[in-house]
Amino acid sequence: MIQPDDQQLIQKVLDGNTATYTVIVDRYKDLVYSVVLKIVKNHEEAEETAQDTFLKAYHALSSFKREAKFSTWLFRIAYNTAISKTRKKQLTTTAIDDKMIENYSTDEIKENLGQLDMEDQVKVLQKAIQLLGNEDQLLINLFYRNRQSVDEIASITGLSDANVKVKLHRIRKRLYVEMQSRINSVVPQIRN
Amino acid sequence: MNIKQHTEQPDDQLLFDLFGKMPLEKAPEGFTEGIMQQVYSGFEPLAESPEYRRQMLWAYFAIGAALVIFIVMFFAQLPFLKISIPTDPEYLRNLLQVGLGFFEGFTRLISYLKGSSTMLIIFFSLTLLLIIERIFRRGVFNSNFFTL
Repeated sequence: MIQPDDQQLIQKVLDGNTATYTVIVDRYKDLVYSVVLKIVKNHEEAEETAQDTFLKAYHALSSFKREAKFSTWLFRIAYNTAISKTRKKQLTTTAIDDKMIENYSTDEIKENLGQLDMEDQVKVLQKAIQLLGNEDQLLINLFYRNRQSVDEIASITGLSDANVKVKLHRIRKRLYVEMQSRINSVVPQIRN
Repeated sequence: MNIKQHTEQPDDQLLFDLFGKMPLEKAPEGFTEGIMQQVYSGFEPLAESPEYRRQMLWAYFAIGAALVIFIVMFFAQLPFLKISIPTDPEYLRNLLQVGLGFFEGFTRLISYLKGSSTMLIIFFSLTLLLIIERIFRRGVFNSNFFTL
């Protein structure tokens, strides 16, 4: 069965079929929750923030401009709501040692990752992500998990396109360095 | 969605694959029902949020404390333990005039404040209370408070 797209669902809600909003919430609740959790770092607050996001979106639905993706618009509301909740004007980022980040090989990482089972591969990535600052975690998740484009991430966070690109580039390198470091400590044990 | 439109590095696919395998944080049970309930009831989320209630509690506390200080300090101007209602018609007229109109009263209040060190103490106490209230509203127990 073909799922109705966001635009169709939004139109139904605006036409007075309020119950259709359930489908929209169900579709995005985990993604929104995941995004705000990266900022507020607390499950209880994340739930409250995610709820506020969907309620704000509902009340502002008529002002949603159809040329943008609904998810981008929704994530921008989520991002702003989470930021205002935490009252942080600046999210934390991680300092990266430029010398260190040059010394990694994605081929080596891929080869070594291949020796781990899927569960361990994900664990290696999760551990590496945990070492990033919350802004970096948010950006990398928006890009690789939520599949938002650079333009969309810039729109959500208020950063410039160039800034998003630079940050993603550095975060990606940092991730690889951390993953390599973790794999190096795990793979020899497996080989033996 | 076409992954290639995001791809800037040849090694991106590895991260896309790994992120795709990573479990997503799930919204709590009953999340959608909770939202729809509020949507149907026309509930305004910001007005009733715990944060809002906490802020209002501190605001009321600050106003109450300010009133107490104001009353205590005002009567402290009079002989201690012999508090009496001002009976001087001129003094009463002056007080009444202060409350008659905002612009006229404000001018008189300012001149009255200038001539009274006690009133200055009250004024600064009120300011201090408002500052304290702001501090608590910003979350003094938040570890990031001092980095704001």
